[in-house]
Formats: sequence, structure tokens, C-alpha cells
Amino acid sequence: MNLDHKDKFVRELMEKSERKMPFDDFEERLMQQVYKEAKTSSSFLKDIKLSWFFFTIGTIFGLVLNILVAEMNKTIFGIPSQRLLLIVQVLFVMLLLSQFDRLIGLTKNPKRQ
Amino acid sequence: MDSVYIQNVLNGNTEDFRYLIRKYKDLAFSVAVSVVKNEFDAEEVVQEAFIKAFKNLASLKDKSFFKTWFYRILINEAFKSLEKKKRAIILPTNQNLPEVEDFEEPFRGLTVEEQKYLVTESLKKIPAKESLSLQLFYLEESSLDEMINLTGWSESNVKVILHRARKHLLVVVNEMMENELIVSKS
Repeated sequence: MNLDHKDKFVRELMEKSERKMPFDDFEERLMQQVYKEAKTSSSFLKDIKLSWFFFTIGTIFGLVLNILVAEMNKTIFGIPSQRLLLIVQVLFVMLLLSQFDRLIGLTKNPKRQ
Repeated sequence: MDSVYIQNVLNGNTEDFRYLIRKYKDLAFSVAVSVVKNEFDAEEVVQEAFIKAFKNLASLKDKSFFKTWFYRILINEAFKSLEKKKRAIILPTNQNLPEVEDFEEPFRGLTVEEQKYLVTESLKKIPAKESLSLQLFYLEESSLDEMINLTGWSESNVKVILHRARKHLLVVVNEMMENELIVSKS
């Protein structure tokens, strides 16, 4: 068999191999899954929006707490206010940065959920 | 036309994804079965590929390239499934395939059903990459460049695999025909 001849015959053979999806309910089953997926992703977007809202509230609350502690000149549970301010500030920055990083990650790439 | 439906899906009309499923499910099934060699696994692969496509539809920049983009996902999923189930047909790459004599006439003497059976069974017996290359080149009418784009193989690799695949298919169909004839004679 020469190359051209072989090519034509292989084409003829391959035409006999055309397949159709043999499962009649495939489309319906897949659409159910697609709907489920759409629902999950839309509820996930809602959750993300809610998370940003509470993050903002938390940040504002944290800032107010920092200002209040800074203005306080008392000892609480035996801890002087200056040391307490430092503890509050460190905790605030750590929480702010870690939550901000997680939220940015989830908003940019929802697959990380 | 695909881009209109894709835009609708992205705008929240999930039902329009049905158009893409209806349009590509058969071709996708053919491609998947050529790799995984089994109808049930192929169905799973096609399903997974469609779901992945749906999830990542927003990341498709040029909506008119849906077919190429979707096929890339599909081929990836098919090879992943093959790897997972460890069903890959492993043949030594330097295995010499015998030259086959012309068997066109006896082949054409068979009924269409017999011809279809012989070809589909033969395709199951050749390595996934080879049957995929035949599928893409002869049934999807993909050019070499498109095949490179879809599979991620190099140009020389595509040529070698395709050349070997043609030869391999002819050898296996010929062998199966001889075996079937021996069985039917005895």
C-alpha cells in the first residue's frame, strides 16, 4: 500500500468508528449537575459578600477598640494599659492581615473554597 | 453561535449550557472513548469535562474558541482518568509493526455492522495517544497545528504518533479479520 492509498483507507476505516453518546439520559443528568453547580457558586458569592461586610465591621470595631485602649489610663486585670494596647494592636494587625489575605484569595480564586 | 450561548450562561441563564452539551456530547464521547477505551469511563470523562468547562467559563477569553478550549479540558480529563485507573496500553515504543498486505477487498466484503465492530474493537487495542491522534486527524479533521494545540505534543511527536497510529490500526484490523475468519471457518 502506498502512503496516499493507506491514508485514504485509514480515513475510510475511521469513518466506521464514529460514536454517539449511548446514554439517553446523559444530557438531563448533566444539566442537573450543572444547576447544582450554578446554585453552589451563587451561594458562595453571597457568602463572600457577607464575609467582606463582616470583615469591614470587624476592622472598624478593632480600630475603635485600639483608640479606646490608647485613651485609657487604668490597669485592667493587673495589666497596665500601655501593655494592653500593645497586645490589642498585635492581635488586631495579625487578625487583619490573615483574614484580609484569605478573603482576597477566596474572592480572586473561588476554587480555593 | 457558541459565543452567544456562552454569554447567556455567564449572564445567569444556566439552561443555555444545554445547547453546548447537545452540540458537543457525541464528538466529546468519541474522543474520550478513543483514550479510555471504555464507554462508562468515557461518559464519566465527558461529564467531568463539561462540569469543568461550566465552572471555568468566565476564564475563557475568546468565546469563539470554546471548541478548542473544551477539547483541551476533555483530553486532559481523559488522560487523567486513564492514569487513575492504570488502564493505559503500554507498548514498547521501538516495537516493530509488520507491513500489512492489502486487505481492502476482503474488508469491503464485510457488512457495515461487521466493519464497524472490527474498527471500534481495533481502536481499543491500540495505545491511547495513537487512537486519539487518528480520531482528531480523521474525524475531527484537525490540522497538525490544531493537534499540537489540543494535545500539547511537539510537532515531531504528533507526526510520529500519527504515522505509527495508521500503521498500527491497519495491523490490528488485519489481525482481527484473520482471526474472525479463522473462527468463522472452523
